[in-house]
Amino acid sequence: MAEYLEIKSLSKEYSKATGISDISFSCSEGSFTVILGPSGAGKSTTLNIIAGILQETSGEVLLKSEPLGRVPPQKRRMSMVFEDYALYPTFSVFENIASPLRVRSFSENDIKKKVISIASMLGIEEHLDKLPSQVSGGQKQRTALARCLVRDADFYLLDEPIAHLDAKLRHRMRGEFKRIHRELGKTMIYVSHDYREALALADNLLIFNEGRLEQSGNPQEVFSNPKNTFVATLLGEPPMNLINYQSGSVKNACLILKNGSESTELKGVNFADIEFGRVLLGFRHFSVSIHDQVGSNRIPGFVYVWEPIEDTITYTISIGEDLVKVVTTRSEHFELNQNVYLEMDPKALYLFDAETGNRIGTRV
Amino acid sequence: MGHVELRNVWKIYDKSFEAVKGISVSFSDGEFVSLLGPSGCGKTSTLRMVAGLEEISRGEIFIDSIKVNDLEPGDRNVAMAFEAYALYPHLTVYENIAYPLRIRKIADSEIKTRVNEMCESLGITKYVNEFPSSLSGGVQQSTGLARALVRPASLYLLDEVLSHLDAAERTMLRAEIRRVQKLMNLTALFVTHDQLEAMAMSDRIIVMNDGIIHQIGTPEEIYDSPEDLFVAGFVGEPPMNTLRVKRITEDGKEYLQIGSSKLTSAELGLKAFPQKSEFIIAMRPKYVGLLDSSKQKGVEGSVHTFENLGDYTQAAIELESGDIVFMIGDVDLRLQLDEKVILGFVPEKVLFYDIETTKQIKDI
Repeated sequence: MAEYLEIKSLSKEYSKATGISDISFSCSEGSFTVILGPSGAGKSTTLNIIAGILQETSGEVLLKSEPLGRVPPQKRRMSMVFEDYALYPTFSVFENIASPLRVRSFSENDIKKKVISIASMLGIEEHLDKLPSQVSGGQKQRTALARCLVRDADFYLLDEPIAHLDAKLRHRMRGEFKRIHRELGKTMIYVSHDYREALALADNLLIFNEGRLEQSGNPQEVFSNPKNTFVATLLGEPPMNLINYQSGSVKNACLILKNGSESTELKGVNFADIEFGRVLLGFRHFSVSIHDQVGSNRIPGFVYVWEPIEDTITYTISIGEDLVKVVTTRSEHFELNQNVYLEMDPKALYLFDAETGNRIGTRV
Repeated sequence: MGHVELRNVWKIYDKSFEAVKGISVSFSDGEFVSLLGPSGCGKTSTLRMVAGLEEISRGEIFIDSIKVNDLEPGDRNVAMAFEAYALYPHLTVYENIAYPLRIRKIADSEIKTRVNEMCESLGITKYVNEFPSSLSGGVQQSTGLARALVRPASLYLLDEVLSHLDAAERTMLRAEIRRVQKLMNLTALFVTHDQLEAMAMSDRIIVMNDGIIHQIGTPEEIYDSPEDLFVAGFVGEPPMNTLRVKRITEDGKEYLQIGSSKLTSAELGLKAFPQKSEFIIAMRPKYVGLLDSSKQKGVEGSVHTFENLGDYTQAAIELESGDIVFMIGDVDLRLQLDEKVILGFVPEKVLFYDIETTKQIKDI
């Protein structure tokens, strides 16, 4: 079955900057797709090509199997919102939201109904009579969002639509967005550089890096099974911990990691037998505990720094050349520079090739 | 060295605008103290008065028991780092850091030792021969900090030094500053609007708003027991839940009306209620949980938003009153939008606030 919106081998070459190369993905009807990546990853470039604002070098965009290539942006039944709100300064909030409906000659009654409905969904119905200059930044951004969503379009393109809001409002809007999407039931592509936004909102998560699609899938699946160190460290706060080793092996569920003459043994791992050269041992902050005694499956280090955060303490532990972060309850206390031992959960470890950053090791 | 005291300090601009309204605080040797508050709260004016960059309108400031009101900035024995790095573009990292020592005519060999030590501590040794323009924001800010910290001073003033950095750089430098400050036992006053930064770095936090101090306390005290509703709302993300409730008596029994639910103190696990007809109960989202409706009575609501954030979940529960209660849940929690739920609170974590004074009610 053909997908609703299909992006096939899309590339954009610039003479100097990184464009995008061979991007393919598809969106089923009514789904919410999030493109996540750092700045310069090609997120907005991709979105702008889908919108028809930017011309691709090669590849194509298909809507219900029809290529969109020759359809100019204004003829594509899509609606877009940008990071800078681009509101009409002399129009009220109401008229700003109504503007895409006016050009499509809806009846006054219809316009009123639609504008009020979307404005109340976004919590700006009290500000409809005000001018953009009379409302806060957050309300401006929601006005721009309402103007985008008020139109009945085949798909919606949202480029960091809540990035400019302050942290508290952004976190609130993130949750609201999911409700809005469910209520409208429309196909949306959303660009973000905030991993929490991406995990919270996406049906399908696309991770971009340097113009390439690194990994895609269900957000929980991507979180638990990152393909490489880029994805592993992009998702999560603190990000996944990585420790460098020169070589190692797995034999009979025992992982041996070597740095020079030092050797670390972790028993009960769920990897098939393997031997490898330079490697990164990955683990998340919640699958490790700190102890002041040597023990099995424990890696020695010392307390580099500790930070009280809310009702927990985040310890930064120095292990060889690497720093790792572990979150504990307040009842555990270790001093600065104290020698400590990190006990690993052998079933929650990841191995990455240190050269390529790619995952290695087959789970058993 | 490093004792600081502010006695009833005011900052009045243009004879009428009161930016700082009579604050008093003292801190001791080796303490890292943050001034935390939103923009316009008076934190930067306070720091600038301590530095000598701003005249003290009223009150007195003492550094190491010497009244500094009439001393020039250069005579106060304070070192300062700013949000804008303000590095000398024509000098290398090494020479930028060495600069305050050179103008104090310190011997070259001594300068070398101190600069190298400081670069080592802040992890910028490999950049010593580079010029600022070729460096990332994080390295430039580390250089600015190293320049401030390299010379002995009674007090180090740090003004929003992490604000310009990206998230990863900020987290890294935050930890480095704390480690250096602890190892060298420096007394520091740090200005920030970021509650997480203040919590992670400080021994004590001064929370300010509208020119007055709302609370002075350790990060744990500020998080666990905010003195008033301003602090409760400012510190923590998502912020503290606050619900306006009524105490009612029916058939000789005393109930608390929360949304549409009527609960006795026993049902809430509380020893008693404040002796007021209306007040606010507050609890952190971490201390809200779901109850089994067949076994326990609790606060009725429905799921307004639900987000899976990788290693935890977050939900906003709407009560019949329209109030929203945020909860943080386990990674395994799954909730459907609009699903009916029953909420319970961890009783020992419930706080009470007075509606008029907004202060915490401690004697119940």
